[in-house]
Order: sequence, then structure tokens, then C-alpha cells
Amino acid sequence: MGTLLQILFQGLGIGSVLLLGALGLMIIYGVMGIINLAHGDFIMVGAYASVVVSSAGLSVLSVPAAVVAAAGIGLLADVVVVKYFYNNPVASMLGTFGIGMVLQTVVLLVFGPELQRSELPISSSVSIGFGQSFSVWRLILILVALATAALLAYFIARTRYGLTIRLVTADRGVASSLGIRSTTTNRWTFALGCGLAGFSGALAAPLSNVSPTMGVNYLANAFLVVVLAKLGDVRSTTAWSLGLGLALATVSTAAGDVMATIVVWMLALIIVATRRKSLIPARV
Amino acid sequence: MSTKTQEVEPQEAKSVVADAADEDPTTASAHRFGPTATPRARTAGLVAIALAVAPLVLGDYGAGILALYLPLVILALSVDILWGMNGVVSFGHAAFFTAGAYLAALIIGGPGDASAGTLNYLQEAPSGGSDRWARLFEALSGVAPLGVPVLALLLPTVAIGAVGLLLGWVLFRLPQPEVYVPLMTLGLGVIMTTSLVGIPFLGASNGLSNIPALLADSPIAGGMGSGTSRYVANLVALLAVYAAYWFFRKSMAGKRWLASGDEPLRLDSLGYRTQLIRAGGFAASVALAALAGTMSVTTTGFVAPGQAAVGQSAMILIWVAVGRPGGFFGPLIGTLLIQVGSFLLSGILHNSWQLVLGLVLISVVVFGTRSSAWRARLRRLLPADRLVRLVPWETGRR
Amino acid sequence: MRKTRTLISLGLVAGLLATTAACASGGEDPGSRDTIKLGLLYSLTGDLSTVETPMHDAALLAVDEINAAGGINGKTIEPVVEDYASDNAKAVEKATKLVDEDKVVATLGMYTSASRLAVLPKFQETDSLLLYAVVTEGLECSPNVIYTGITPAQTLEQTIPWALQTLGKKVYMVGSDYIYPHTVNAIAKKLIEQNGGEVVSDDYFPLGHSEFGTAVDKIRNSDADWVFSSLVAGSIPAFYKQFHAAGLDFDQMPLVSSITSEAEIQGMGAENAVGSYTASSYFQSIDTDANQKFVEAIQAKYGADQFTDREMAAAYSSVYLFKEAVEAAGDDLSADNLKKVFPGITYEGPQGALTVEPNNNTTMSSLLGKVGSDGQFEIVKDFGEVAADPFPASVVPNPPTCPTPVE
Repeated sequence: MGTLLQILFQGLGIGSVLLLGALGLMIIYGVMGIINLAHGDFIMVGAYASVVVSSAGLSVLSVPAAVVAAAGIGLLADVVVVKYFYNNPVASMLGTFGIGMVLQTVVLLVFGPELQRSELPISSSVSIGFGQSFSVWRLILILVALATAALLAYFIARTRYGLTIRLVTADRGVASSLGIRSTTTNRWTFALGCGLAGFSGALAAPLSNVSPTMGVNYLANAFLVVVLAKLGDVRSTTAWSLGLGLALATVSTAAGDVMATIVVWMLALIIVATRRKSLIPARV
Repeated sequence: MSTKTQEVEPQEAKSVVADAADEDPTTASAHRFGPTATPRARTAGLVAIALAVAPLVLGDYGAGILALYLPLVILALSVDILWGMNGVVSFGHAAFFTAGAYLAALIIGGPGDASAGTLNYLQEAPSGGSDRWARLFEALSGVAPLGVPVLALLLPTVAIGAVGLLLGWVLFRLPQPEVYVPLMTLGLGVIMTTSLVGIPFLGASNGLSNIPALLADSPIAGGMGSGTSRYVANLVALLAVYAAYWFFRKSMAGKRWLASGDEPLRLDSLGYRTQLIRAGGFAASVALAALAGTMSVTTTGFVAPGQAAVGQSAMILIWVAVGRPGGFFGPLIGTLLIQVGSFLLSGILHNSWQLVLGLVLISVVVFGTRSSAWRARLRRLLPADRLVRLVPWETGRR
Repeated sequence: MRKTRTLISLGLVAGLLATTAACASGGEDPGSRDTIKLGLLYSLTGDLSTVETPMHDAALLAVDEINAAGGINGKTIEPVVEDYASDNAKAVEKATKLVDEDKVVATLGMYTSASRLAVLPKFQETDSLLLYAVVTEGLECSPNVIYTGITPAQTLEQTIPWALQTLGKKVYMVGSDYIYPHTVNAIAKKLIEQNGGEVVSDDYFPLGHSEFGTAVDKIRNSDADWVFSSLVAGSIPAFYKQFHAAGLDFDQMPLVSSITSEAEIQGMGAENAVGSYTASSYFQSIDTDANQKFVEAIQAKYGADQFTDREMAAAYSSVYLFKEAVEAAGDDLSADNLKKVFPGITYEGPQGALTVEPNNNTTMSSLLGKVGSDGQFEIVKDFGEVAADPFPASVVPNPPTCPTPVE
């Protein structure tokens, strides 16, 4: 029983990191038709921003700084380059890959290749029953991730801007004929997506490593979630992220982490391959 | 003069650097991609001769370095067949390349844990299983007319091509393969890199190394330097592949292949089995990638799990993008420009060369999406008559 | 026009290559030049730059020092730096360039065993020398490589018995999933069993893995007395941090590693590493004049926060060993002669005394350190100088005679 409880919490923990990563990617693809291969690198930017701010003594501002930094760089990237990639999955893949290379190298040149130090704001753990205990920070992470997903869903469903996003996703032509300037929508949505990436970087950094190449792991997993979930649907993304996290935790407890990666990916690919209905709207 | 039915001002001639109007090399949507005209035999022949003569100009060292890149050209070509001609981007070709490399390395060099590799020393006795495999592989590499282990060339290509056929059949059943194929092949890369690391038979994380060149035991190599002999072997393979590609592009099969990516539904309605055609093309592409792996492992002498990573697949896409997807010489130009460029650049800018590469990539992609608009601006700047030379697409040269 | 563009592009490529070829120095005898070329082949970009760039920096420091002191026999060392970007295929390209075009006297470089094995055929084929300054799993003694990194046997043969006595008999082993940790753990396992201990579990994680929640739980729920960790690079901070986050600490559940160094401690913060042990050949806190000088020099050049770790010390020392060998070789700097000259070469530096043996490995100190609250290691045990045996009899039933080329 204790093991099951641990698997549950670990799974939720892994899932929440996946969720935060996937949300940003999903928004960007859903609204703009852009496959952002630099997503992991925006996560990295957020992690670095939070480290820099924390080491300057302003730990409270570390997470907001991460969001602002990542969103800001995303905005800049959009103004300069990304705007050419809208609704162009292939160009966006390659172009954002290039952006990722640039981000990584710049960070490498400015900060050096060594791992950066990022401290756990709360390092204690709490008992979850049956003799098991769990890290408080991870619990916070799970709650924050779920709250973020909920907020985002509310934002998309109930606010005016969210309506704009949904409209542009559904039919760009109609949206523009209604006077919605899709360029502006896209720009701010890209910033939002990158800001979410930065947010997840700041939260995940204390638990793992901060280096210029840290984003790669997050990218592949975030992609998997986006492919599995229904595009544009926060609920579905949440469900699949947590499900994936639980699957990884279960297999990893039983057979080790290497098997977990292999098994879970193969399952995911089989699921995708056996779907009859196309869940990704025709964007190509 | 024949023109496409476009509203084009009489003064606005198409630049011959451009393709059909609005040709967008990086978009995968229908009507937008497509190869350039296949060059005449004369042009192709000239390029082939230039490549053949290169070692005399470059010397053994230069030939050896260039030899490292030739298999990568074949790899880029394998991706371009899918991307430039069929609109499907693969993020997993590095995995097929590595699979081919491993198979070839096994045949020529034997299993990882049966050779004098590290893990073997810790075992009380060599594992019987890998001993049998070692004997099988030795027998296979023994089939060597003129000292060239041909089975190491053929088996990986055929075997992995067959796997590619199966994969292609599954992948092209899905709606919108242009979206699913990149994502599924991405997963393939992840799975492969993770699992390879744990297999001692394949050398685990060290991979298989010390693989000799194809012509190492062959009289063909004669008195050639080691760099030159590798170059010759790889060049022969490259020219053979390119010759086949040239005929393919000019043939009806080539047109069907184009059509299956361009207008799959229409092709179906004409009675062709589009899914089979696409699966077959995918298989050919995968087989070529495996062949590239084979050539590569005999040139670099090693194969390791890291080569199957998604990042490597992304590099291939960069080569193709820079060389122009669909262009006949595209894979050749793109691969050589990037690889030689990186080699020289990293010697100068030790740790910031990837910055330059990233910027180059971004520029190429942006230019690709904007090229028609910028070309139009360019046309207005330059005298129209200098650019008047119509590309004979419409005269059926495809 | 398109044809012209094609031909221009091809011409461009050919031109680039011709330039490369033209820069080749031609077939000179390495000893006849005014400088002594030393190739430096490390990852300055990519995943491994985290660990390899410091080695590159330390080596350059040694080169500067030697040149400032007059060089070797009056000739300056000319470092030829190449980046292989954590990509083994590029490593082969660069190694080819260093050996065939730059005609370096020797090359210092490589990090992972995979990268070493990738370039090894080139060095064996052209009979040039590679200086490999990283901890190695041993099980190899190529005549073309001088191994100046410590082998598992050297660190573990004394450490394991000590740990079994002091920390307990039941051990939980973890490691990153590739050959080095597997080998270290295999050797450790044999040593543990031979000394009356028991291995409770032996778990592996993919390289770069940073999710250790489940692993830490398993450790907590087992009846192990201490943890033996062969995790590397990025997994180390992640593991140590999550260990603490889950409520464990190194007093109740000690941890011994042969890998964790000052580099990772800086990355995770000293508070996450306090109380853990590392068995190694070098610590920044070694209290000798030579080491203090080294640490000061590194910090003067790279900042007061810069740490020095075993790999940096080894790279630094390797350059000095190279200097000694070149001096002993006199006028004949061919690889053949250097290979004859290297065995017996000694150097006393930040790591203490180093001696290259006929099996091409290096005898050096074996130390055990415990992390203090300042992030530095307090030396708990000094097992003295231990000879390097890449094929320790305790674990290898049929050792070959060294040196022997790698097949």
C-alpha cells in the first residue's frame, strides 16, 4: 500500500512537470500552428533567470523574473523571426531549432558551461501516510501545476482574450474578417507560451540541474503529451500529462527508469498509431 | 513562351533562381513543394567528375575529411526524398542510419561483448550466445569478392529497408502523415538512444568501434592512402545512389511518388494504391539511410548510441533545408556546406560556432518562407531583362 | 542559372576544402619545429562542455606556466585547440585534423569512454599519442594512450573495506546507465562481497536522468546501510537534491561515490552534499604548496568562485607529465620514442606524486574525503600511493599483458 501511495505521488509529481511543459507548447501549436523546438530552451532561460535573481538575494522575485525573461525573449523572437513561421509546421520546426541553438550558445557564452546552483526554497518533506513521506516542494509543484492549468482553462474559456485565441485557432480567416488582428494575437500568445515555459523552468530548476543543455529532456516529453492530448484542450492535456507521469512512475518502480522510458514511449506511439480519428485540426 | 497561368506583369520575369511562383521550400502544404528540374546528364556528369578528381587536389588528408561527409550526403538525400518530394519530414532518420551502422559494424567487427571490449573482461567466461553470433558474423563478412565485405553493405540496407516498409505502411495509414510522421519518428529516436545504451551485445554505451574501412583488405585500394581509399569507396556508393536517383526523378515512378505526396486523394481516384506507393517510398528512404550508416561506420570506424538522437536527425533536416528541399544537388550542397563550414568554423570560433550555425539556419528558413516576396522586391530593383530566362518547368522537364 | 548556382556552390565547397588542405603543415619531423604542438581535444560546447571545458582551461594554464618558465628545452608549447562539441563523430574529424594536418606531438583530450574509443583507432592507426586525463573504468591499456586518470581499483580497493567496517554491511548501489558506472559497480560489488558485505540492489538510470523520486523511495524502504553512487554529471545534483527533499540525510544513510566532485557540489549547493563521501585521487582542499599554488592560479585566471576538481588537476598534471617526457625524449619526438620514454616519468603536483607505469597507467594517491559545510572535502583517509592496475586481479579472471592495442 505504501508503495502504491508513493507511485501515485511520484507519478503526479512527474506529471505536473510534464504538464507545465506541455501547456506552453500546446498553446503555441494550437493557436499559431508553430512547432516550437526551442521550447526546452525557453524552459532553460526561465531556470537561468530564476537562478540569477535568487543569487542576487531577491528569491521572492525569482519565479516572476523567469516568466518575464522567457516571455520577453519569446516576444523578441516573434517580432524578429517567428512571425514568418505561422501555420508552417516545417519552417517552424527548423527555425525554432535554430533559435534554440542561438539561445543555448548565448547562455553558454554568458554563464559558462558549468552547472548553476539552484536551491530548494523549501527542503522539508511531509508524511503522506503509511510510513511514506514526500517532498513539500514537489507537492507545491503539483498544486501549482494544477492551478496553472485551471487558470489557463478559465482564461481561454471565459475571458475575451481567450475567446480571441479560440477563434483564431478555429478559423483564422473568419477571425480576421471580424477585425481581430491575428498578428497581435499570435504575438502575445507566443509570449504566453514562452512565459509558461519559463515558469516551469523556474519551478523545476531546484529539483534538477541548470545548464545550457538542460532543455532537451523536457522537449521530447512535452511533445509526447501534446501529440497524445486533444489539441487546445487544457483538460485533455492535464489528463494525459498526469497519466504519462503515473505510467512512468509505475514502470520505473517495477523495472527501472530505462525500461520506463522505452515502455511508455512505445505505448504512446501505439496509442497514436491506432487512433482512427484525426485529432489534430488540418493545419498543414 | 510558356508560362504558368499566373497573373504576372509582363515586366516581371521569373528569376531562374526561383522555382514556380510561390515555390516555398520549407512548407509542407500541397501545391507548394516540389523538386526543381532534374539537371541534364551533362551537368550531373560534370559534378561527378569534379568529385572524382577531388582527392588529387585535396591530398590524402583532405580526401579523408571529405570522405567522412559523403555518407552524410546519402543520408540527407534519403531525407530529401521524403521531404522535398513527398512533403513528409522525418525526425528519425538518424535512428535508421545508426541501425544500419550497427548492423554493418556487427558483421564486419563482431558483437560488442565478444570483442576485447571492457565488459567482457569482467565475465568468468565469454557468453556462449554471443560466441555463436560472432561466428555467424564472421561467416557473413567472409563473403568478400575482391576483399570487399559486400554483405555488410547489402544486409543492413535490405533488412532495415524491410522494417521501413512495415513502418511506412503503418504511418501512412494515419490521416495527415505530414503531422504524425515527424512526431512518431521523434519517438523512435528517443526509444533507440535509450535502449541501445543498455545492450552489451551492441557495446552498450561505448558502441562498436575499430571497424576497418571497406577497402581495407581489398586489392582495389592498391597504393591509395587511407583517406583516399575511404573516399573512393564512399564516392562510388554516392555516385551509384545519385545515378539511381537521377533516373528515378525522370521516370514515371518518380512522378507517381511526387503525386502521392502532392495529391494523394487524386492519385487514389486514378486507381493507384497511394498508401503502398508511400510506404514503398518510405522504405526506400529508410534503406538509403541504413546504407549511409554502413558507409559511415566503415569511414569513421565506430558507431555509438548517441548518433541516433533526435538532435542528429534535426541536423539532417538542416542540411536539407540549406541545400533546398527538392533540389537535385540540394543534399550534396547543403551537407557539404554545413559540415565543412562547421569544421572550419569550430576551429576558429571554439565555443561560439553554433551561434553562427543557428543564425544561418534561421536566415535560411526565413528566406525560404519569404523568398517569393523578397525576390519580387529584388526584381524591381534589378533590370528586368537581366533576369529574363524562364525556367522550363512547364515544358515537362520534371 | 540554376546550374551556375550549383556549380558555384560546389566550387565554394571545393575551395573550402582546398584551403583546409593547403593549411596542412606537410610531412615534417615534429621535433624540428620551433614549437612543440600539443593538441587539446575537448568539448567546448554541448552537453559535456560542463565537465570538459574546465579541463581544457586547466591544461591551458599549465601550458602558460611552462611557457613562462622557458618552455621545454627552450621551445614553447603551442596548444592546438579543437572543440568536438560532445559529438563523437566530430571527435574523429578533429582527431584526424590534429594528427594528420597539425601533426601534433601528442593530444590531450576526450572524456567519455565512448569518445576515447571513437578516436582510439585513429591514434593506433597513425601511431600517435593520446593523453587521457579522466577517471577511467580501466580494462584497457592501449600502447597509444597514456592514462592519467584514476582507475576504480585504485580508489575502491581500500575504500570499500573501510566503508563496510565503518558504515555497515548492506549497500544499495546506483549508477548511470553506461559502461563506466557499470564497471565501477561491478568491481565494487566484487569487493563488497569479498569483504563480507551484501549488495541490496543495483539500479541504473539513463544518462542525464534527473527524476529520482522513485529511486529515493526504494532506498528509504530498503534495509541498506549506505548508498554507493556511480551517478555522473547532471544526475548527481538531481539525485542529491531529491534525496534531501524526500527527508533523508547523509547521517542516517551515508553515501559514498567515486565520482562526485567539487564541480557537482557547486552545482547543487554545499548543503545538499554535506556529509557525503567521495573516493578520489584529488581534492581542492589538499593542503600542499603545490596544490595551493594551483588553486590560486586557477582562481586568479577564472574567478575566485572557480573550483578545482580531480579532472582539472589531472589535465594540468598531464601537461607537466608531457613536458617531462618531451625533455627526456630529447630530439626525437616521434610517437615511437615517446612511448619508450613515458614509463617512469614522474611529476609532483597538486595531486601529489604521479608516476607513469609501463602499463601506460599512472600511480597516484588514493584518498577518501567527506564533504564539509563549506562544500570542500575534508580528507578522512589517505591510503597513500596506489599502483594502477587496469585489470585488477580481484575482478578480472584473465587479464592480458599490458600494453596491448584495443581491438
